[in-house]
Amino acid sequence: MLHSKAERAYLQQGFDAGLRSDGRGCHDWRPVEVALAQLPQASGSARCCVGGTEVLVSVKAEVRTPTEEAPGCGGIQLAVEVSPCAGLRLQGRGDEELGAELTRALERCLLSQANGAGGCLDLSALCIVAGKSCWVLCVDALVLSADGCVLDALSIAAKAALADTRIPLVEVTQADEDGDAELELDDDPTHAARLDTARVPVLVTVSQVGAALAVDLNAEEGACAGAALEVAVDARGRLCGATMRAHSAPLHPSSLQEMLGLAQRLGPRLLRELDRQIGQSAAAASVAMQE
Amino acid sequence: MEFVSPEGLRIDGRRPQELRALQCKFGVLSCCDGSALFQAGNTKVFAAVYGPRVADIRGQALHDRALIKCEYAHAAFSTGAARRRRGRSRKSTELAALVRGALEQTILVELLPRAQVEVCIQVLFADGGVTAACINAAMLAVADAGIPVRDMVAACGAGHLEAMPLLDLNHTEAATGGLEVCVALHPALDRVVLLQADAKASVDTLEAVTTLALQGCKAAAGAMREALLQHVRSLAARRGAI
Amino acid sequence: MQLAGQPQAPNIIIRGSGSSLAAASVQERLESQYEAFSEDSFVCVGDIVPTDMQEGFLRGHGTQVVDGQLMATVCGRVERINKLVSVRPLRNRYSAELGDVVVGRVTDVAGKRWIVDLNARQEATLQLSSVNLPGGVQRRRTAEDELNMRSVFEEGDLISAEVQALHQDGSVSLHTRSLKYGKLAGGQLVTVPANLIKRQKHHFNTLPDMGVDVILGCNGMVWVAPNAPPPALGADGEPEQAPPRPPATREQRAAVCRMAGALRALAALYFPIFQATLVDAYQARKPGLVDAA
Repeated sequence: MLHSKAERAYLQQGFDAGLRSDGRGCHDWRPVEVALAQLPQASGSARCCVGGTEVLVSVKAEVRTPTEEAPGCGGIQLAVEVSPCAGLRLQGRGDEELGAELTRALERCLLSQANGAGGCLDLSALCIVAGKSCWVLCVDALVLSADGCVLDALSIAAKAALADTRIPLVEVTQADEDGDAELELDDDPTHAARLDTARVPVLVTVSQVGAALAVDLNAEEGACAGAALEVAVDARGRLCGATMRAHSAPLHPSSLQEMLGLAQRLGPRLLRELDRQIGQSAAAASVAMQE
Repeated sequence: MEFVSPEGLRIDGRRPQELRALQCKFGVLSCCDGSALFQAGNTKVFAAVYGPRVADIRGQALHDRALIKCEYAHAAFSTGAARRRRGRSRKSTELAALVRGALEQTILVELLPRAQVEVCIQVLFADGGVTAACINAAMLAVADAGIPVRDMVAACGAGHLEAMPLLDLNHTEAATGGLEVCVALHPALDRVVLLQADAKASVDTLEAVTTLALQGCKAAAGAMREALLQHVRSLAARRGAI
Repeated sequence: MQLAGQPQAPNIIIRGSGSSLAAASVQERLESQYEAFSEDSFVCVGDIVPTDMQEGFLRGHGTQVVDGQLMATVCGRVERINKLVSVRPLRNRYSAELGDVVVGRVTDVAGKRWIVDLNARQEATLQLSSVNLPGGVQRRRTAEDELNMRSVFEEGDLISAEVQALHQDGSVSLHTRSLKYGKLAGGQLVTVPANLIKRQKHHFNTLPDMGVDVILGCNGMVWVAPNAPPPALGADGEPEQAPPRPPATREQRAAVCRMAGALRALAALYFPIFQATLVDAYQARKPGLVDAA
């Protein structure tokens, strides 16, 4: 994206004065729209729009055999794709490369270490029969259009989709002589279990534009920004991970502290609003189901 | 499994010669010149058009006509099957080539020398009739972008199950491996632009199924035309007479 | 939009989709106007355009002749001017006409000309001979001028210009041979659909009550900047080239943001954009709102 020197200077002055080109302050987000249950064929799904950025996340729960290292735990598999409709290829960025980059960034935020402990989701709750079968959540994300703040939107949509996920109840019938148990899935949606997503963090990308720190940069502002740090913060303000963006400018160590502090202040507020919206959607959905 | 009940109803409650409910929406994506969403039953396809614009690779621009490019992708959650492998498969390359072929016959490329039109198709859910839905969505997006075309192109699929021709197969019906035909038609000029048939069949069966598919194309064209006129009227009401 | 000087609490709004009440009410009011349009004024692709009133007709844009009948090639409104019948689409990319005032971005500098991107079907060219040299002297361009082209406009610069000539293959030649055209600085660019910009006599709108200058480029690129001071007259009575402006104050910046927001709101609702609608939209927005409908 080309910019003239004059435009960059104007943008920079805006950040220094705390008034960006669309009237926001440095720490304001654009209005975020979250809608749950967008894909009827998935166990859980959510769509998130932040300005011009639109992402769609679907969660499908599948029954598989657990890994040998963690026989009593389920698993999560994550994949992010960038749709050709987003037009990023025309701007010179490869879709697949960007998709892989976003997948890795989201994995670092949501997944725990290999042994399944200390992660954002309690994977042992996904176990059905220890050592034989467990639930694996396949989380697939699709970026439909990109106008900056893509990773943040993905993490918001992922959290909303996980909150919307319904795991069917499983009845384990008596094992036969081979020792294989029969699994019977209950199709009734009102009997399905929900996931506990209280510990799922959200990604806040903090960028440095000149001397000012800002969040939620749109595509134009992002092209003029310097260093960017992606910070995963949970509802209690605890840090769950921090990564410098792949092509970001170098960062001064003192700014690092400030950026982490900003993320820790803003993350819980975002999560509170998100939880409130998820609660409202869920209430509306259950009312609709009863009618 | 019985595909057509004795009363003459299929597994989703349709008659053998009934199309699924069609839905068309415009302007779904804001970053492109034209965009549309086409839904036939559960099959849901987005299309976005970028162009006519300057060719991004100068050497590819043609001096006397426009260059049509087509990209196709289907989301990992679009099918119930196990997770697909990453990257382009042969099937997606073939589908992109089919859509491009249909559009090259449709768009008046001689009016846009040295320009490029890029059509991007994203399948959100595939429940049978995906090729037809992709072509229809691309047509709607091209019309939304105001690109001059010879005629509308409308596509529809049909198949042959239990000795009966069935219109617009869904995924369960298509998965039996019987004859499936996909046809694209220019309704006003009355020309067939695309014909694709899989599986062995006698000439009579193929003719019967193709005729049924052509009728389906005409019905789809009618629905698309209504949606386009409605969209144009709403834009004109907002913009006024400037 | 916080206009006070102290840092305020960050603004975070999350809402469910489908809660845009303003857009829904606008839609309802507009739908009542649809009946005002007569049935045959809109055509879809492939429809026969009725010409039964006249024997000979001239085929205009958006139509083709098939079997002696006129068929529409785009979806839009039928326009009949004497014997010329054409169909104009409601949405399409900008196509230049002679004398249009446009705002464009320089993408390339090569061989005595600049290549300018206008968001159109083809790129535009701006010849070295079609610009005013710095200093305002009229002289023949030398080889040194060619080497110093980047000192006039370089890659990425935004310029305002006028369409000088159209060529057979659709490419466009621009010129900036007037002091009101040239490089744009100290403001922001908003891109709207080109069909919404009404072609008028004056595209350079100065709105002193709001404190902003708006250049409505016919190609949909609109430049919004704080009011420029009037050009000082030089020793010979001719207006001089203005010196570089100081950075905008916070009030000026707020006015520019508000005008840019008004433009985006009009574009989102697909309303026509000219001075009267801009002024209405600007005054309709309450200060304190960040986003448009």
